[in-house]
Amino acid sequence: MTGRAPLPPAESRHGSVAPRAAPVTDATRLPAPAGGGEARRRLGLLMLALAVASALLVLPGVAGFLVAAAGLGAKAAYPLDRLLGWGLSHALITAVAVGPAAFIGIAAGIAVTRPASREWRPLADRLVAAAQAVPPVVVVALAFPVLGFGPAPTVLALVIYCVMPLLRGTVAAIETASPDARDAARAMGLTSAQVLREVELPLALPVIAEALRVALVLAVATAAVGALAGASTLGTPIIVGLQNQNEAYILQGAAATAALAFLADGLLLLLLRARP
Amino acid sequence: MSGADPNGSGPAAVRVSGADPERSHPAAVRVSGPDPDGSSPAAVRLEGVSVAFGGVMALEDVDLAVEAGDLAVLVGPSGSGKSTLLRCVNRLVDPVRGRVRVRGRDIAGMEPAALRRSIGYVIQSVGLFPHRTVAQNIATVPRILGWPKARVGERVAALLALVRLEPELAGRRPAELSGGQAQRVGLARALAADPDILLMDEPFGAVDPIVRRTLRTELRRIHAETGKTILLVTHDPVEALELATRLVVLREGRVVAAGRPVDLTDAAGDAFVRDLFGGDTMALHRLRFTPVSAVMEPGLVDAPAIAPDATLREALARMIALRVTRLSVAGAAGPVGSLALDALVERHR
Repeated sequence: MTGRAPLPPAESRHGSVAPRAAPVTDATRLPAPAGGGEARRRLGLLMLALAVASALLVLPGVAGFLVAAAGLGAKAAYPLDRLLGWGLSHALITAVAVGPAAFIGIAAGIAVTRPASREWRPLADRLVAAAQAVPPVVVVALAFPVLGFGPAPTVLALVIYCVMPLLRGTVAAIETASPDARDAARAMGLTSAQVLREVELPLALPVIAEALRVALVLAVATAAVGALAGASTLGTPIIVGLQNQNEAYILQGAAATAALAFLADGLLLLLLRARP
Repeated sequence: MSGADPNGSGPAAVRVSGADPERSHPAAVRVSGPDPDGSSPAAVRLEGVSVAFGGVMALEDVDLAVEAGDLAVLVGPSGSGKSTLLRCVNRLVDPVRGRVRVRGRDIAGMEPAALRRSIGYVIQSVGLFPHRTVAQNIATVPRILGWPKARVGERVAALLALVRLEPELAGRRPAELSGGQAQRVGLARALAADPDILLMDEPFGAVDPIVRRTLRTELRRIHAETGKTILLVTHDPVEALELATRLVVLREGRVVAAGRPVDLTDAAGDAFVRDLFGGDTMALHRLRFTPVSAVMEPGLVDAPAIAPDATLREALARMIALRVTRLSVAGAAGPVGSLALDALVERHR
């Protein structure tokens, strides 16, 4: 597809996100999955293993022991049920945000790749770049006065943040989906809607699913920031720990966030591995 | 069907239309303007068609008539506008000036998708849908047209047979096909809804020379069996001569010559056309237009045999290969005459 702002290849796209984004977006640097189903299965299992390893650090006994062993003194640790509660709320906020983000991102991606709306492409590119450049914590801070204390500013920040990889992923998926097949479909007399349904979407689906995975992991990792605005997430123990100089709380919150991100990534890798 | 066929149109007996367009449609020779008498309309007619891409003229003032049953080959160097001309016929490209008529109807007012569904199209890269099986690929247009499932199934089976693909291939994905098989599937898919007009843009461009030759023979056979009107684009002059019942030579967006291959390759013709078809060796290409039976002499000789419906090109090749200057002409019923090298040289058209 010539003459348009080219999208960087998937790997560098993910890589370029990290430096200017919040630190938690390290999740986007996960190795780009190889094409083979076997490679994805192994990567998925690795992620699940990392999730289990991170979850071990959340156990009150383990967290307390590690903090003490690091010479930080004996600190109280949260019991597991408190963390489970934050974890569930964290997962819920993520899901509530990724749903609309997926809808907006994929729909907009489809819209700007329609031949009739080609002139919207540069604008969409600029918007997603801008959405990505603003750190979520800033969105949370800006939305806080309007949306108030609680999960709403966090959800808004996550939606804005996650639209980007989804929109870009959808556009890239559709544009790289066999131009020959698309041309043939058009020449055979399929309407644009039929070309989309019969050719473009089925071919783009694996790449869109991949973008969805990246967005979900991004959202899981970033949702912790929401604790600043009163959203009950796994960031909450981190904030409390920072305020009270309790490193065990911080370790528990960080490890639990990581465990959840690894879990989401591992499960999606295994779920999507059947794709060609 | 082999090289025995002098002009690629096949013996009249197997033609669905029952007629050889080269002989029964002398009108097809003319580079036509508007239909003067309103008689049966040409399958495809271009009247003063010009196409511009960003201010550059891709086609300029093209007049062309392709009669029903023709295998019209558009030939010319790259950039001559031949693909653009083809794409005008199903509105993949809209002209800035002029009119395109398909089956007598001006297509400017027709809905593009409906028009395209009524015309088969084989693109150069085949463009099979990688996520669909061979059968699903072939069934695309019939399914969209809402044919009953059973009829679609029958049609797919019939088309696989027509393009000589094993029925077992029906369940394969395009990635599992050879280049030649993919081309055949592309052709079957284009023919699926039984369009009377077929557009082919460099259909054999992506396969090796041997497969190419086989596919050309197959296309001539299919053209003869189905009687479709075919417009085919190629940059290969030899392919054009081998396939065409009607040749259209393009250069820089203009039709420089159109007519029967045997007429266009006349030594007295246009210099560009002569160069395109091999310059001084064009006479060798012309040998394919005359059958042995047209120049043979009575009287039997003891010599290697050749069929009466073989072309002079094959006869000459045979003589050279066997280092003889005389062949015995023998049909299924035995020898019928002889062909001498000097007769071949002196009497061919």
